[in-house]
Amino acid sequence: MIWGNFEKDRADLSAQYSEPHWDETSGMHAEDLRTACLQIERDTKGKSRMETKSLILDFILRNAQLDVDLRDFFPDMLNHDRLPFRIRGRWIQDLRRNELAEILKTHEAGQNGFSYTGNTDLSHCSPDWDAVMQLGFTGLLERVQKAHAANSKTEEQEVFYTSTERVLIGSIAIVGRLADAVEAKGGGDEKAALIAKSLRNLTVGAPQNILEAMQLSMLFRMLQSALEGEAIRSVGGLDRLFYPFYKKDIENGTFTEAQIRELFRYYFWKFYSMKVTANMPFYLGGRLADGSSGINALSYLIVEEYAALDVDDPKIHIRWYDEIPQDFVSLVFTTIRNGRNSFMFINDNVVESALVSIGEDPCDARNYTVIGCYEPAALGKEIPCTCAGRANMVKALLTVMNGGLDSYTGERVGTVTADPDSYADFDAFFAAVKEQIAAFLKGSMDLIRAYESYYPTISQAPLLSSTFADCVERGVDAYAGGAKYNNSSVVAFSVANTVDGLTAVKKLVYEEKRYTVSELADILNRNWEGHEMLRREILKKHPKYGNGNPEVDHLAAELVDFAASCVNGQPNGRGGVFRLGLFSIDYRITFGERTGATIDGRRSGEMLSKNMGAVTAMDKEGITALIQSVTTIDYKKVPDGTVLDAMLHTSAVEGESGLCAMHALLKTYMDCGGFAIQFNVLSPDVLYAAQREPEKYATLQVRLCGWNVYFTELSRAEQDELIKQCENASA
Amino acid sequence: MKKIVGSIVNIKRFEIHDGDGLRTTLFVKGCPLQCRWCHNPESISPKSALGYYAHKCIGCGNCVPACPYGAHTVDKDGHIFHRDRCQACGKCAEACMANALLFYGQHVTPEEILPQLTADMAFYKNSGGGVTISGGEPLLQSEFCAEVLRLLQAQGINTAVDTCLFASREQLDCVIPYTNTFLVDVKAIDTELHRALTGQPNTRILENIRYLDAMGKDMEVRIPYVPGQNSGEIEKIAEFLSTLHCLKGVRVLPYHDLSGTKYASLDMQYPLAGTDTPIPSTEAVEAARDTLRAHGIKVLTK
Repeated sequence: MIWGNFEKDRADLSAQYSEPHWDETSGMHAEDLRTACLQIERDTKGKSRMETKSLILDFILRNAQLDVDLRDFFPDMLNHDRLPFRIRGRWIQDLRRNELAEILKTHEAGQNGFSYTGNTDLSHCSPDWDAVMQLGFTGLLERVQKAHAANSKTEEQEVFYTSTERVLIGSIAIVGRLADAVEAKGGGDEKAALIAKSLRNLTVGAPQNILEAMQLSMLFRMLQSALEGEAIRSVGGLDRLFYPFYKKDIENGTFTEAQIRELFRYYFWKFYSMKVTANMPFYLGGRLADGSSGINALSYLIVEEYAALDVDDPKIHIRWYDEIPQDFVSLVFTTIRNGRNSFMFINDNVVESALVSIGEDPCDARNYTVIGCYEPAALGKEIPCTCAGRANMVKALLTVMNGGLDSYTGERVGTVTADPDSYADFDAFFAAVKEQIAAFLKGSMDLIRAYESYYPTISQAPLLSSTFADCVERGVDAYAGGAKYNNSSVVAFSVANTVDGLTAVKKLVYEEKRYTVSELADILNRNWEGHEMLRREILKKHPKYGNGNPEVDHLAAELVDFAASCVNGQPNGRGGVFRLGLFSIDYRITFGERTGATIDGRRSGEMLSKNMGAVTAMDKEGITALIQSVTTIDYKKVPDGTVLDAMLHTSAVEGESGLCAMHALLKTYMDCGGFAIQFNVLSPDVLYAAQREPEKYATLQVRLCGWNVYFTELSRAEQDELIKQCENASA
Repeated sequence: MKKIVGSIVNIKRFEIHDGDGLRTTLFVKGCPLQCRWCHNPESISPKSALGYYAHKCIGCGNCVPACPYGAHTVDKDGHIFHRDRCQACGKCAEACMANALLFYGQHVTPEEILPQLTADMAFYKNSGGGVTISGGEPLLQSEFCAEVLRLLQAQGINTAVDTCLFASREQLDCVIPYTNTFLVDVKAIDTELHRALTGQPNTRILENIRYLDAMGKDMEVRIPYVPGQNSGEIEKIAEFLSTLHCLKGVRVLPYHDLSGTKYASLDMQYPLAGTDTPIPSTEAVEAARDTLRAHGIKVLTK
């Protein structure tokens, strides 16, 4: 029986990655494999690391043990123990200890206090899925061979081409090995025969049907993400990518629609079983190259199958555009209202403009993919390093109030050293905060550049590069500047804390003249002790970001414009430019822990504000006012992206009128130039009940900050924070 | 020109239950009825009042010096609010940092509140929504409400008035030209029962409904469904409504009992307290809707 087994198989298959059963006879034992790979590293010492890495990859592809489970349609288990990833980790450690020791020392106080950080980002990328699907492994290999013959001039190019060919040939070999293993294990089994045949086809050409396309998608993810080591943070626009196969298969009778639906369940179940940190993303919809609508029959089918699985992973990005079919949006809203929260809407109009603003060709910008949570990148053209740097803006404000000192480390950070009481007026004070933010952003960018100048020695991505036409043409690795756009990103966050804090200083010091800046700094350094009434006064009386108050909102817009001017278009260390992002994701927790009390009313160690949202419960006028504030900012200057988390009470969006309200919220948000938005439809009662009886609410999903989680698996503090947001939405 | 001033409870944005689309609702203060199940007790009295939510009080004493009348005292046992001394000036609510003191009955001019009422214009446009005046009873402040509605319509905003229609013809005529939709409550047909449930007879209400109907005004009727109170009236209400010509539809609103803390904050007695009035079952509400449908009435749900 090939079909109709998913419900029977799902429980067992969920352990496929966590509890593999390696076939001991299928290859070398992991320990021996490791010894052999380390020997390759020693043997090639002094040679290009591209060569070292490709030889290691090739050796693993030919010798690692396999695990095939005949219940699964997508065999992709290879016992490599993440060896290349670990070797790379050692190379990076060596770099930090030696070549980068000095610059790391310079930025020690900034990084330890989480004022700012700068690092490698060898994750957050995507292969050119169009090329992968159109060419397959063999087509990619032919393209590289052609360019090799035509373009190879330097020694580096020669190494690039031979290494890339080696890894692609090895990739074809592993697909063949998997086909053999399935056949051997399956005997005459019908399903095994189908799977083996499909895999076999992938060793000789591009995928010919949707099963082969899905197998290729899964295999490529494994080979690049898990083995080569650059984590794929988008499996692409699944509706547009798979639609031609779907259409052909239905027309030719290769598969029925019911069978294709079942394939999608197995396919999504793989992602769920992987337990990828922050979920495995893909996108649906968006404008196609010719401007036409990207939503097709598969878009609907995919949402329905995701909903039917009732799991918190994968996560689905919806590329929103003016002509997006309303019934599709209704389907997504209904799915969200039924507790399947794993959606984020991203605005095609704004993304295209934002990518063009950092020098990308409009055609490239239009064919963007959504990396990670909400970070756009031109598909097959851009390595965006979306999470390389971070800057904590409210810490900039706090350190200015302390004359440049970070109370967490007790050390100076940034460039501002002036006496906090020396500013003549608010404008002068704000100028100092900006100077400090600029210093944090520069610190982050300097660190990233330093790492990037060594990328060719730490990161080699032959497989990823083989999908990028520019890398192949130039004979240069994707991380060595071979892509068309070799960019890096810095995220600046805690927008709401910073804006509310600036407003508090403006009122208390420069308008009411009740305190000096240093007096306020003393109060903060004592974590509000003895000044609870002042803290409450600030929370209650001062205007806050998130309520449609023009005075505060313009401050937010000015702050973001300033950060954008510091970051966007600045040269990075790989021939590309920097891009500004504004998301805080879970940095709000980690960075919050190292941030003392802040003048917006936040206590020491508490979480920072979330993404584009208001400080928790400070959006007192409701979601429409919050949207008004959030869309005051010009997101065409935020190419690395951000999001608004919209918390809606269940009763506020129930029934037909509730659906209409959600449409109005989304459309207005997008019309007003919002970047991206994700919804939680919850009621505090349910969340309290889930805290009391977690076992009854095991599958209660919540959208956290860019990914989905089961509510009951969150820490108590995170649960309480969500309840607070939810209660505020119900007020 | 005379300055028109109204007394309001609050303005709530992002409402979906008070008319078409996404709406902003202005709650005005003062109502001629006192329905036993009223869930907005703070809006019944036309006079301003202070709500005291004792469970939120942190005993900081900020309200003590803020009050010119000595209505707040704080000692070792905590905060005491002396309602008898309160002149409802609202100064303590301003000073309260714990949101334990809320002031109901702010005096405002239509121009003053217009920016808040029009802030969500883009959302109205994208949802076919607008502004609803509710309460309290808008027609009790018909001049103020008419001016608010006029200003809104002048900006092309759809307007609705949520009313019990216990009002004089003059009061009603005053708002009709500026109101797109009337959301009208019908609680009972039996006039003595109506008096028992709300403190007033319903003759005028039913006359006003017929008047609006004859005029062809866009009208939606809402029936609060309160078990043991007016639940026996559905058949009669259905008969009455089936004689109307221009009714857009009827909504049955099931009773809920979430207003207890509001009554307590105002030192008011909840009329249904101790009467053991249950939340109606889904089946009972559906049966009421079926009764209406049986009379050929369009029932609105959601």
